[in-house]
Amino acid sequence: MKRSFLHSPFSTFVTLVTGLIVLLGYFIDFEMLRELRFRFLQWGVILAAVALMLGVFNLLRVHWSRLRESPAKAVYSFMFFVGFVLSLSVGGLLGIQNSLNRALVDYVIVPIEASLFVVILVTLIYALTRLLQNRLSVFNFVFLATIILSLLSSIPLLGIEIPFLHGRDSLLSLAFRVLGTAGVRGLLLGVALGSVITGIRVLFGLDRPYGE
Amino acid sequence: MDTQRCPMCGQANPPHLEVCQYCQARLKPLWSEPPEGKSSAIEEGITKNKAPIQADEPLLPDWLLSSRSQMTEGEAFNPEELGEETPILPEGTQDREDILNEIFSGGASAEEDVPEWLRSLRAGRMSDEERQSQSDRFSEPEEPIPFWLDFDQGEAKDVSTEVSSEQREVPPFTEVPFEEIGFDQEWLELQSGAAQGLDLRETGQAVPPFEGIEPFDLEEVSTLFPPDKYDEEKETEIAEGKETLTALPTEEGDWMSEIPPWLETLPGQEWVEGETVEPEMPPEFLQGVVPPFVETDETLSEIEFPAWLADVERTIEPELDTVIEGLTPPTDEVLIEEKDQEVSRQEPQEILPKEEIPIEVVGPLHGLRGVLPAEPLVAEQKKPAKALSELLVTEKQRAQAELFLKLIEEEGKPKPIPPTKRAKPHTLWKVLIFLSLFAAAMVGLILRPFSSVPQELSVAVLDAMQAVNQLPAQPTILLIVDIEGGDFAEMQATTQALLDQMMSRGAFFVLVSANQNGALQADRLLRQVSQVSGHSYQPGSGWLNLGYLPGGVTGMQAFAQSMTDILPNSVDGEAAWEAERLQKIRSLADFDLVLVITEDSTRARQWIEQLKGGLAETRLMFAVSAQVEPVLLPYYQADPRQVQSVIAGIRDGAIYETQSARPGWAMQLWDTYTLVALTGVVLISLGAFIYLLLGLLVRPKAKVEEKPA
Repeated sequence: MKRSFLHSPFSTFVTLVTGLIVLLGYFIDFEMLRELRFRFLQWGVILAAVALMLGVFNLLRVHWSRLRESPAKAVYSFMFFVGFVLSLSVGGLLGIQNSLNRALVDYVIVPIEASLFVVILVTLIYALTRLLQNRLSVFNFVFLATIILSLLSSIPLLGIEIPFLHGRDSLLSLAFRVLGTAGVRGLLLGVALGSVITGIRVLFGLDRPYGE
Repeated sequence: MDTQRCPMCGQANPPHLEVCQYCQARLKPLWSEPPEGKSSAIEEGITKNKAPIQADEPLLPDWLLSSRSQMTEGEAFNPEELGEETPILPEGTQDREDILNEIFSGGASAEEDVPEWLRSLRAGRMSDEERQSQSDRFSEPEEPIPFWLDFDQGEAKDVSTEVSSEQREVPPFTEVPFEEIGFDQEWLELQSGAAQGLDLRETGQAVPPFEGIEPFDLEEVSTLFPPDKYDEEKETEIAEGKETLTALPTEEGDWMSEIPPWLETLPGQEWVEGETVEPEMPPEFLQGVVPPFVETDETLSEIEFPAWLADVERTIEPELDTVIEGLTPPTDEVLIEEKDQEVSRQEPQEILPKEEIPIEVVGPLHGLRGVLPAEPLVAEQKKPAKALSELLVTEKQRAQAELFLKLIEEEGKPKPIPPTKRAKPHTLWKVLIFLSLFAAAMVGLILRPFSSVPQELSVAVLDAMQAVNQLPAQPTILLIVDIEGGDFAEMQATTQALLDQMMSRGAFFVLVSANQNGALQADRLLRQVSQVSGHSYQPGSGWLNLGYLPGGVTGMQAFAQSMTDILPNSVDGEAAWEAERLQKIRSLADFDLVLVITEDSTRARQWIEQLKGGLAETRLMFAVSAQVEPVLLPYYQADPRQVQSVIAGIRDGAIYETQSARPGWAMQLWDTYTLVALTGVVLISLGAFIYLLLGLLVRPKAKVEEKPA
């Protein structure tokens, strides 16, 4: 079986050297090191852009195959090709400041995404109403009560503000803020530690996320 | 039709072929016997009835037997060759050796194994008359003699033919095979003297005890010399006047019961005939209780048991009877097995007589008798043993096997998936939710204002206002916009007053986005704010759009390190950093303020982490969605602060508008927002209560239905 190039020791060596140079560039103020670090980052940005283009080509390929093989889904794929060609021609040829491009954003992209957002809102409310029917538990009660109190605390009841409930300095708002901040701090610490460990493992070649 | 059968494959072949036409095996041997040996030409499947020449060598090939017979008949014994050697032993000694040979070798048995010198010795000790009488006696078969006795005749013939008067002088046997064995010399001399009537002691010459005697088999002796014949021979010798030793017993079997002197001296033989048997005394602790034991000729049944032993017998006997009666009778299997064993014992094993043992006629083993399995036996077609038509299993085992087979059959069959109880979608309820929210939004837009804008002063909003107020005139602001179309309305309401205040100060915006739609959304946001707030901001003069920043976190880090190299051009293709307002901007620190507008908490965190190294914390602001606020609060509440200020959601936007006296989208949307949010709270509470009741009512019924199943 042919061994993958990305799993070869050479790729591991490249990853290790690149990571060490970028990492040392944070702590050591050395001109050459800083220059190398920036070059590696620049290459990374260019490669990410190329990857985005590859993703676009892959999307085109998938819809092209659907258009040829599946007549039932050909309509959607056909609409995709129409939208892709239209967006590419308007944005690429006419430019982002063109009125047609603005109209495309104002009357197509934003309304569609906003409507999807409304659908999510309706679905979430529906799911919350049936939460206790499907599974009656203490945690579901707590979850539901938290949502209702959070919404009530964020808005006045038809112009009437309750001292206990409304206001940024109210007891409920303070409790949510303290609890929320504490939880987020814990999450951030966990994310930071996980990032450090992942970076070390990649630097030592224990993890090889590339090529997988 | 005359055919010949192949010894290898068993197929019939024409008689003239020498090689099998089926397996190419040779049908006729390469070497064949001389024509006179017709008896050796044995056809396949036909046993040879020829009497063996040497009875004690039944398995020797015919060619060997014939060659031996030729030696004994054609090639006469050459006495001159032997006459050159001087005999060492005197005649008397030689006679005595003959007697010993007769005793230990049983006469002329195993004649072919006897060396020439011994054969000559035997021939010398027999006179012609004796040989004649002996040969006559043995050569007259009174009845058909089995093959294992046929050697007598042949032996007599051989002896008569090979012995001659010239053979009396034979080379003596000087080897002493049993020299190290301590035989009793006197006893041996007596034995030899009894046979020959000579006193060996007179010769004064020591003779090895077994000189000239070959090892022999006792069974062979017993078969060669049956007691009757041996006795007759002895009587004949006595009648002929031969001297017999007086010490020899005359009665039949006495010579066997006599114990030789050397055997009497062996240890362990303490008992002497004629001794009185002393009673065996019991051990000391039993003396007085048990009488001394005396061996008598009485049988056990004739002995009268003592009283105490009889009592014990009477007490044990009933219990023994009950135990015997309680024993389980033997099962059928045991009885069958015992019966089979009995039958096998009764059935005599079929032993083929020697004449029926075929002789191999082809191949390298030609002439050997019984060496290989006989061809007829090999070629014989036998039916295989009849197998049992039914398994010997019990009913329980059969039932278990059937159950196991049934399980295996059912294992391969697809099982229908039981329909799961899935909650039916309540489309009507979904539609009712949508209509309620839509109605609340419409009412909020049409009937506003009916609610008061929050009046409390937020610290974060004050920090944001302070940071904007501290901006210099004509500031250059980096505006990072990472929003999607669905969140555009919220972010516009949140940042409109802030951007309006910046525009009022003549700010120049540099737009960049890590989102694919961010550049478009940023352009649209500034245009909307400028239009609503009454500014005349235009692309190029009011802002410069750098477009999309690829690479995620890597792109952010590279942009923070050297933004002019990462994004050198605007989306219009112009050299971005050559613009008039950006002549002095070469790094993040050159911007007067950096404002990040996003609704994604992860993206907000990444921007904080990547921009912190190249930017003072006093110049970093965040305008985010309400859901991102908890993530940014730790950075905002840190000491020192990593973020200048955080404006989160429509509420903070409305507060900012109120505090800065710049009414905008936040205040316009506030009534609608509050009404829709309140409608949502009502729907959630009411719907949850109703469905909870339905669930409590339906749950017992479902349990009742599940129990019988």
